[in-house]
Amino acid sequence: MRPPARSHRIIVQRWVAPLAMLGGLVLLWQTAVRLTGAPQWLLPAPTDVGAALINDRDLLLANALVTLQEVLIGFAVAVVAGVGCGIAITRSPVLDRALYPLIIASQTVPVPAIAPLLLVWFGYGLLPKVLVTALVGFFPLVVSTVEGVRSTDREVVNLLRAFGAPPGRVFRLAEFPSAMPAIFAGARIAVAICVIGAVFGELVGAKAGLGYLLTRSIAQFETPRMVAAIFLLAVMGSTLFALVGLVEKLLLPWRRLVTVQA
Amino acid sequence: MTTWRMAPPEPARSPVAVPPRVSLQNVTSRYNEGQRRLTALEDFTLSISRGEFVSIVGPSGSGKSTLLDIVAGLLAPDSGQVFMSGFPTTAQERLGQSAYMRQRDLLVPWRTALGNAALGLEATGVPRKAAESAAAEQLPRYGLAEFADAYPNQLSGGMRQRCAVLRTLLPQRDLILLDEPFGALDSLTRAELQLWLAEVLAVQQATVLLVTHDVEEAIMLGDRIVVLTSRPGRVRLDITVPLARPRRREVLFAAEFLATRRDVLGALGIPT
Repeated sequence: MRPPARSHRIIVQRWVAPLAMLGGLVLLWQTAVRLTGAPQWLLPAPTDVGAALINDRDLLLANALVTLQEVLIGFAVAVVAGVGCGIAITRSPVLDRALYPLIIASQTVPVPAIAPLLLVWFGYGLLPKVLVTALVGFFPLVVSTVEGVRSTDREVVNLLRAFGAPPGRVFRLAEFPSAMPAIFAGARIAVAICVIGAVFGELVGAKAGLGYLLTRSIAQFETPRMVAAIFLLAVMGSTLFALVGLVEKLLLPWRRLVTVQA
Repeated sequence: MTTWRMAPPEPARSPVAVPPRVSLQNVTSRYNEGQRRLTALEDFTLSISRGEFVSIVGPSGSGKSTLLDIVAGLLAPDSGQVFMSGFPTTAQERLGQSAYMRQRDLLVPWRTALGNAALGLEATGVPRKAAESAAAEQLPRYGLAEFADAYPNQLSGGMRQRCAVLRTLLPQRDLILLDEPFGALDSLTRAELQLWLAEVLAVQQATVLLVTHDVEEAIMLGDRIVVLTSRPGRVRLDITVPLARPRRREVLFAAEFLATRRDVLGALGIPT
């Protein structure tokens, strides 16, 4: 049991402070729009955005679900491929030398340059968006998996080897569990940038999704709806980020203890 | 029996010659430290009989840990041979023959005390469920019954080390390598664990190699004391402790204990 004064302070620090900051900024924005009398298509007030969220809820929701689907599938592909490649690289010195430099070099190729190519190859459907999403999420997962496995305590590895554990068993008993926190750190970064990836895939060419709605709304000077779409993207990104953190807490209960001690 | 002929000639201790559990013959091991090439062990020869408890004492840098790494199979010597129960072996063949415990307890943070205690047995290929139930049976003897579900950072130093001892002994290997197992503990906890380990090991009847810099611990636990020279490590003194095992705290004041202690300290170059 924490003393009440301390838990009160933690609540203030964790929730009240950021919410007050957000509220203050929204209020400032509202006041600025009213005072300058900026037209709605140039700078919509928070109330205009709120109205758009309510009035266009069906349209926004339908498109948000399309984007969410792309993000979730793309992220899932990134996790499987990224962790899989990461493990393969740590298992095989040949792959480490052959594949790892290529993966790192691939990051210098900007996704905006690849997205139109994927559009040409795979059309306007779900596939090119999922591929762009998976592509941007792949890198942080590969790197965190490789680095996580490699940072395993060598003495623990040697201890298990001395007991007669073959490499596969050493991996299962020590290297993989030891890499889990790093993999989750990579997954949190990956899921956030996967949202960006999906929107980018839609901006290049799409028939649905929040990215598609963004471009169409701005073309029609429906700026409040566009800002509402951006707002939903931010909510989606933060929620997914928090969800990955929650899964980590559930799967790695020992982590909380370690952090508290440190 | 033909393979036994490959074993080095041993002075016959009994009419039927039982090959020593571990025998290092002219082992030399070097390692790199920065730019320099250092010799940890040079032309090192030592035999340990089955069931014997050998304490190895030496100044730091005398190749004590290198010696255990070689016996465990984690390290191949640069020259010389290692015989296990009379057979010449490669490092790869020695892996899986011993249970190794180091100064650091090496408990993994993602497993509970029970899970950590079972880890050694799991490393030998036993499924997790079976290993954990075997460990659970032993926890009370190790004073960990109430801490089965505690994570390592919730345990005291003594409890962590007892958990590490359980992880080491659970697979019931006939060869146990202890590298300063209590070196990181305070002297009270260490004294307590030494007595306790003496009792636990008396039941196990294994061949034990204990590396320590604590002379009293070496004599307290060992049948035989081997004192190494400073780098490169060679055998300076090899004596038998004339006291029955397991020993109690009182032997610290026995004449035999004090005489052995004087010999060991003398070999280490420490005035008594």
